[in-house]
Amino acid sequence: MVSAPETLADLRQLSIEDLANVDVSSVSKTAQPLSNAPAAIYVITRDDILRSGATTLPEILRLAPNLQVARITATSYAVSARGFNGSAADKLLVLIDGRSVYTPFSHGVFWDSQDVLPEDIDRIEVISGPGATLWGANAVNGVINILTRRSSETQGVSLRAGGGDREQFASLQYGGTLGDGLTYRIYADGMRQTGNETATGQDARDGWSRRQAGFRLDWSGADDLITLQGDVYKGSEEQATAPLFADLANSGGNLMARWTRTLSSGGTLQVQAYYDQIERSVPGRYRDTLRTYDLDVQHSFSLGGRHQIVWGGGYRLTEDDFPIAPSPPKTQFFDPVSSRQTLTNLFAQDAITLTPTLTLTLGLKLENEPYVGLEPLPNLRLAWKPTNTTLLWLGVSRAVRSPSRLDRDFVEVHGATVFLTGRDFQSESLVAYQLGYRGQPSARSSVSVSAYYNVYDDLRSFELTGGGLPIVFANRMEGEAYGIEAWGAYQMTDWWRLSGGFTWLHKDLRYRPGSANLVSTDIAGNDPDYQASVRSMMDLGSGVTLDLDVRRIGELPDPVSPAYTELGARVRWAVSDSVEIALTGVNLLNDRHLEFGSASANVQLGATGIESARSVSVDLRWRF
Amino acid sequence: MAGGAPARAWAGVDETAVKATYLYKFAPFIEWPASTFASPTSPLHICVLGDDAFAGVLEQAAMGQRLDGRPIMVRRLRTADKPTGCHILYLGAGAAKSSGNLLRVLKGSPILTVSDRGGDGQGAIIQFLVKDGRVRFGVDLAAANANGVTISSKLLSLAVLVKPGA
Repeated sequence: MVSAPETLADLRQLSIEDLANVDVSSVSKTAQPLSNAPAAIYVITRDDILRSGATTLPEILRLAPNLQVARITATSYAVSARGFNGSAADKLLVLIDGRSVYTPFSHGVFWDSQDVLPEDIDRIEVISGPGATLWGANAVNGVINILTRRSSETQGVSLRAGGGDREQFASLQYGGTLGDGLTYRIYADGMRQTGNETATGQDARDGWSRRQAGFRLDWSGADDLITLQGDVYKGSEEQATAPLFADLANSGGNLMARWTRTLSSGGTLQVQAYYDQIERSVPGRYRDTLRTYDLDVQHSFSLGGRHQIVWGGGYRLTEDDFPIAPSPPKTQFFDPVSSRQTLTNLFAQDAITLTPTLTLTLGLKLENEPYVGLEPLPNLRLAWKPTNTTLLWLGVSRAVRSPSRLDRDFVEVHGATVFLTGRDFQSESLVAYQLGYRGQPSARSSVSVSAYYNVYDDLRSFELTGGGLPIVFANRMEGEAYGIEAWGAYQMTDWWRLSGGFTWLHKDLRYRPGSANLVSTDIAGNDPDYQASVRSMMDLGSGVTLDLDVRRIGELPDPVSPAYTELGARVRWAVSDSVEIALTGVNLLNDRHLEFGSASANVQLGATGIESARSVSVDLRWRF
Repeated sequence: MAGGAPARAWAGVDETAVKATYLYKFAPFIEWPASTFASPTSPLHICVLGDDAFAGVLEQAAMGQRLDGRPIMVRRLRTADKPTGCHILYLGAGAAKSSGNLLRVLKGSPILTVSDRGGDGQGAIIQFLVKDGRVRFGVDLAAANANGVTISSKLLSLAVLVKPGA
């Protein structure tokens, strides 16, 4: 299923006030309800998030059965869909209100730089499989689209404070109205997490703290919606890997404006612009500064009743400056140290109604990549909706993971010898074949099953130069990955809902003839064969809810991480309309457990050997 | 890059499902004349004209739902059918041509008429509309008064538009 208030059973749970706030996305005539989307899409709802009590984005993302989330340290997570996971998993597009947050440095995501107040999240759409044509660059294995609520839906004061043995957090928000259709909110939050421990019980030195503040201003007129939003943050992190280093300072901010106009012809025009700045530095070691300027335009309309067309384009300029202090005899640096890159695209998609139950979607994006030039990203989907509650779909798409700064500009020198360099790395490419079923077998249940067969080419490999040094980043790995993703929910009674998810993945990667075969193909990603989860959500009456979740994650092959089972539990009591108190326990089954391999193996994937411990916290919410 | 909006192209919930849910959730906020129901347990009838797909969704949505002990029943009407016994009548897009006439004929009958925004909403007591991507509704109090149905102030407070009674 799609967990959202997507199914009738979900809508049944809503009060009539809540019903008035359900997004049906008719902003665009091209909008199609989620139940029609020919993709493996799971929606984490606001209710799911609030019930879970999770305070950080990666922990919230564990709610999506089609994502693999592994905690590497307190600040670093491996998050991916359909495999290829690592601390800098580079085949995922993550958007926060339309702002792309993967870094051109590695094409991974710095999860410790991303924060959204959980209660402000409207929903998180998680699409497994390519989404490059519509969503944008780097959407190879999946898209995570985080959407926050309009400020009109977050009016009043909201205060949350809590903590336990491993973390403390607090947030304060105020939402107000400035005039007819003009609303705003401002917020500030902060958190602190204690460091974890290694398998031998040593302090892992990964404790950190963070604070953030921001605002969102929305104006809605007869035909226009205008949003202005921004955030600033600052954090400090202990360094797990090198105790000699000073703490990492992590700061940044962003500002975005978006204008959506409903045209008199019935179409929709949207223009969006943002600026984003991040700075990560370890004094005396390195200072990475990245500035991003982005502009996107999109027009959607229907043509002749049978064609739903979306087309548009985008321009992004990034300015990256990454000086690293020399540390002879082994020195790493970027060449050039500063880089200014542009990424532009044009795209068009047509959803054609062939018959009342059959829809064909054809799309093409042309992306002009900074290192490799034009990449065509075509997409074809066919959806058959024989009844209102049954959807069968299939698709073929091409996506690429284009070269990052790391792939092209990185150099490591040992004394006078160049040891490792980027140089000629090209795009990694994927052709994905998918099919899926989504439906509601009964009014109380919903199910989604999808299967994929992914053909990867030109994956990153490490090769020798004429049989010797330097080692270079090249593209001589290829192979297939295939798997199944399934999830569903069942409303047992009015007060008890069960949901569950399961994924199975098999990767078959190899080096092409002529490759130096320097490391195992496991370096492409450290993935379990399977993961499974079950969640139980109970409304016990008198404002008390009890939620339990169990997850089982299969063994990770290299670096090895044993299979594990973990349990979370949460009791929440709404004392009154405005006050709520909750007791949350995570990782309850084991004192400590490893999620992403021991430190001894390769650094490439970012494994550290740090373990996640059992923890308990209490939190209090106050709204008025 | 093209982030926010394309994403919206697949976002959210089926409008039909939301409207169907509204339809049975309106009931607790409506007071019909006492004589409308034969007994305290006789069913509440929601009738649908001019949109079979909607009726199908509503049948599923309202399955097993009750209003103060009354079962909620869904009936599909053909254009020629008289809406006798209906407590709520939904006029779908397919009923657009005949709805104006029908609403005039029904004036004075204790029926809560609801129109889809696609239909000719003129004269229906509640008209759905979509505002900011949300399904909302307007209320015509004059039409409600004419049919003798009382709408609670809570429901009125949720309406984006209230046309005052005569």
